[in-house]
Amino acid sequence: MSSFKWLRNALTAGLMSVLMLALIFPGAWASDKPDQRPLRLGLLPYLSTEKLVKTYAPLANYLERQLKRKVIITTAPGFKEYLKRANQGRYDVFFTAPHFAAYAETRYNHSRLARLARSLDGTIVVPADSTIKKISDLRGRVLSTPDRLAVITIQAEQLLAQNGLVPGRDVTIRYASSHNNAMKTVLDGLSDAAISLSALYDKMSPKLKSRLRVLAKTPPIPHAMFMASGKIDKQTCEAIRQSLLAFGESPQGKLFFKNTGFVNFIKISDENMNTVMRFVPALEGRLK
Amino acid sequence: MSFFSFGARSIRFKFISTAIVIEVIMLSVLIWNGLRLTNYYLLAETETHLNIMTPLINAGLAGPIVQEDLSTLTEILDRMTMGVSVKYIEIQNANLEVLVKKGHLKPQPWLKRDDFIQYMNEEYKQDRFAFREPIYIGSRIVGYANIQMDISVINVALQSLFNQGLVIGILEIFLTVMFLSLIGYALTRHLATLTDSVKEMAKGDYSQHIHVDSQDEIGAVAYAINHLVDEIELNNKKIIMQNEEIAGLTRLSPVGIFQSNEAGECTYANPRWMELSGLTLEKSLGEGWASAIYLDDRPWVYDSWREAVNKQAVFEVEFRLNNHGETVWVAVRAEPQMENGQLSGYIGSVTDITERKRIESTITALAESSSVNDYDEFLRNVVKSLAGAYQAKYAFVGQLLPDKQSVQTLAVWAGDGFVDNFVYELRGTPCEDIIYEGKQLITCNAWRLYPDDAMLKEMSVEGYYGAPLLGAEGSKLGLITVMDTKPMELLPWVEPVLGMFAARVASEIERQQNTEELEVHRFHLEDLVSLRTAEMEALNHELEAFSYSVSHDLRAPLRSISGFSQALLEDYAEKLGDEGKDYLERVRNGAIKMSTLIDDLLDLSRVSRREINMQEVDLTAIAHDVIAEMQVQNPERIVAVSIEDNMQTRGDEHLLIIVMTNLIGNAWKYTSKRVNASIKIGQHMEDGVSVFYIKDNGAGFDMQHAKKLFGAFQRLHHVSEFEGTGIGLATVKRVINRHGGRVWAQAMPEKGAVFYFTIASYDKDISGISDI
Repeated sequence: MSSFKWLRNALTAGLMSVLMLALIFPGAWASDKPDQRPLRLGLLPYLSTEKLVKTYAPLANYLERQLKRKVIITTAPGFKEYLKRANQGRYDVFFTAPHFAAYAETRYNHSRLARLARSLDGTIVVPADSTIKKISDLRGRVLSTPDRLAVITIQAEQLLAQNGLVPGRDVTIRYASSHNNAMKTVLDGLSDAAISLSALYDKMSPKLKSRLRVLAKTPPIPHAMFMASGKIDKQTCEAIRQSLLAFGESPQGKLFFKNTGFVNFIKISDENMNTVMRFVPALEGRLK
Repeated sequence: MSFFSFGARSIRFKFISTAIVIEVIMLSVLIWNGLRLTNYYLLAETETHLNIMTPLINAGLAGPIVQEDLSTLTEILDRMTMGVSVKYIEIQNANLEVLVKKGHLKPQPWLKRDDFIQYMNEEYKQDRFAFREPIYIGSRIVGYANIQMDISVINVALQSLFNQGLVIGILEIFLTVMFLSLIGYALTRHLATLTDSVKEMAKGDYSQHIHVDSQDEIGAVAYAINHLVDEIELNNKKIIMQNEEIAGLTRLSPVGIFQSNEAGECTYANPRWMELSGLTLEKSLGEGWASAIYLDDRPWVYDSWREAVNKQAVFEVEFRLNNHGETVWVAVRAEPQMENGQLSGYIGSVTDITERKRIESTITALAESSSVNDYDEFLRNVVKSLAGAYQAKYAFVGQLLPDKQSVQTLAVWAGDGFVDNFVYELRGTPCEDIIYEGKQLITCNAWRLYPDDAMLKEMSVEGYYGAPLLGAEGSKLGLITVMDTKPMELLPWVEPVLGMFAARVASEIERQQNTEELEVHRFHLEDLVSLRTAEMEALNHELEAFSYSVSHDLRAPLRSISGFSQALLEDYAEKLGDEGKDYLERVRNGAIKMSTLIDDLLDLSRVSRREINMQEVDLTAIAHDVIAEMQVQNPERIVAVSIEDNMQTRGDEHLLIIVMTNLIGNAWKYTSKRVNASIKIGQHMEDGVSVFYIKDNGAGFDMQHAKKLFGAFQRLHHVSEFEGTGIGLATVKRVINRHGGRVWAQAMPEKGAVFYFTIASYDKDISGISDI
């Protein structure tokens, strides 16, 4: 009789152990099942939300087909919030500025996926009839920049510093809500100069462009990058990476790149990441 | 009175109730239509509002949804739920994860916005409309806005509208009833007075007038009714007077008048009926009138009356009434009285036709008495009928004897039977005056007027009617009298009827006299006929003897002449020489012709005497036989012969063969000089009778001589042209006549001739037709 009590106690203890393990490691319990949750695709809010969704909808559609998962496009009210959410892992995949990507990889252990094949540089414009001929002429003037956290803004301030100007003291920095708005302030006479993505300046109509004059350009750096949340398993992460790298071969991808001028998605090298790492300290300073 | 007996309600009631019904209907329609239109426009407005709001919601929510900007979304939701229309709203991202929500969620399925109208029509009792609105950017759904909208306001609006409409409707109906009652009272006040007055008048009280002081249409109607009442009262008085006049006329009417109800029961009878029937008025009423009818007549009269009543037809009969033993003949004619298409009764007249019936019976009796052949019975019938017609005790017929002083009675009726005839002297009797002066019509005291006539006195004769019997030439034959022991009424028909009897009896007496005389002559005539018959039979025997003599005695010498002439020609031809042979040939030919002539005459004689043996005869077959015989006799002749098939008749075959042989033989003979001779034998129908014909294209003849064509020994052609004895056609005519038929001919010289003949009706027995 005692031998049966022993056996019953042993079975009960075993069962309880299994249940405990299941509660503690639910992922292990479901590890063999493919993750069918919708894939949250975060997009850096460098454009208006509507334009952002319309621009990246073909990519989302492509990924849905490739991954056989629903893809939800999402963004955030601003760069800071976006960065915060990305770092918190609220996006499974997120498209972000290069210095944000370096920050996420180094500080939050997110994984690099791909980057735009083209480089990123900034152009400082002044009104075509402006007396500002060089950077130093900006002293006492107003310079419009995009968001304070934008890499272009950081580059612009670094350029001012290199020319002996202290941003905020020697040059009034005016943060616009977007790259377009930054240049628009110059056209509207609200600021003396503005820095924006060179690509945007290049796309401006000749009529508007004739009213502006290029004062300086920042050095090119790797462009925006796709990162995967650290919560994503490696297999999925690799599948997403391969899909992104093959996007340029698909009809949707070709159209996407034609419309955006992003050329293609390519691998992120360590050199690329090192290049943008130098903006991370400035970024961290601004995040405080 | 049931509420639903609307027709019997007052005009005021009808007026108000009809107005209320119309008012209720119209208000119902108005409210219903208002509700319908309000509902329609509210729904349409709400739907439009939704349609306008949706893109705004999309525009406002799309960005914050994608940005997952919950504060902005919350702010938007706060603003959206500030009003009363949105009860609950929640925003979902594309993964249906609720981002924000506001308000109280009522569990119910989420529909599409486009389902709004259908939902409202089907689920109008719900207070919320829950719909899910996808939020798009481009073609991509970035999230959903799930909204529960308050629709109770629509139902509340409709309910309010209905309630207000109902209150207004009730108020309007109430006011309508009030106003219409007032107006109805004002309008129908005089009408009510008018109606009450007219009801009183309808009960027969025409004494009062309607007092309506209004000048409108009702006043005019009242005036017209008052005038009408005056007229009715006046007419009633006239009708009463006329009824009294009619009653007087009916009372005094010489004919009976009666009325019955629809069941045929007598409801009225005038005094004349009571006189005729002998019944009182009380006994006549109902079916009592039938008790006056003669028992023998009662069944059929009653049946006729019932049949007329059932058929609603005119009742018209003549029958006898038994008025306390006295027979009264009446003619009744009654016509149905219709009221609203239904039989209401009969009105009729009863006419006394006793006298007419008496005349009729008298004439009938006279006619019946005339119909008998026996002279004595005729006279007895006459006196009996005469006594009956005049309802007299005595009647007799007397014949004036040759001495002109006395009369022999031929038939005497006395009381209830016939008595023996007798002879009496005329002198001193009314009979003398009758014979020598004419009719005597003594209504009474006859025996006193002729005191010398003992018989009159003995018989106590009061009434005496008598008329002379005159022959065709006015000769006095006798007299006819009728007498009674009571006075006799001198009615208009008495004298002519008596004259009629006298004339009839006179003619019968005269006929009897003539018959007796003829009987005498007839006996004499029969003797004469017997004598003549004997003479005829003797002559007939002589004729037969003559025929025998002709056939035997005359033909024997002719055969000798012919035979010896032939012997001389054969044995002594050389000695006779040519001239002698010619003479001898002529003698021989003459003998042969004479023999032929005798044969023909004998045939004619036999045809006349031969007994007819009727049978079916095939004339077609006979014609073929005759033609064949002709062809044998004259094989060199080429004649186109046409014989119609199936020429059938009924007659004596032997005699008809003689006819066909003669007629076809004539055609054969008279076409002998034609190169293209033709003979056609056929028949056709004329007036239902078969006409047989034999047609040729021979010599023909002039129709001027047609009358003598069928006479014996009549010839229309010289013997040198065509041989013949002239007996053939006479024989034909005799045979046809014996068959009751007819024979005739049509011809033209050198154009040919057609001979037609008929036989009496196929089934007619003509054996009795005598020869001509």
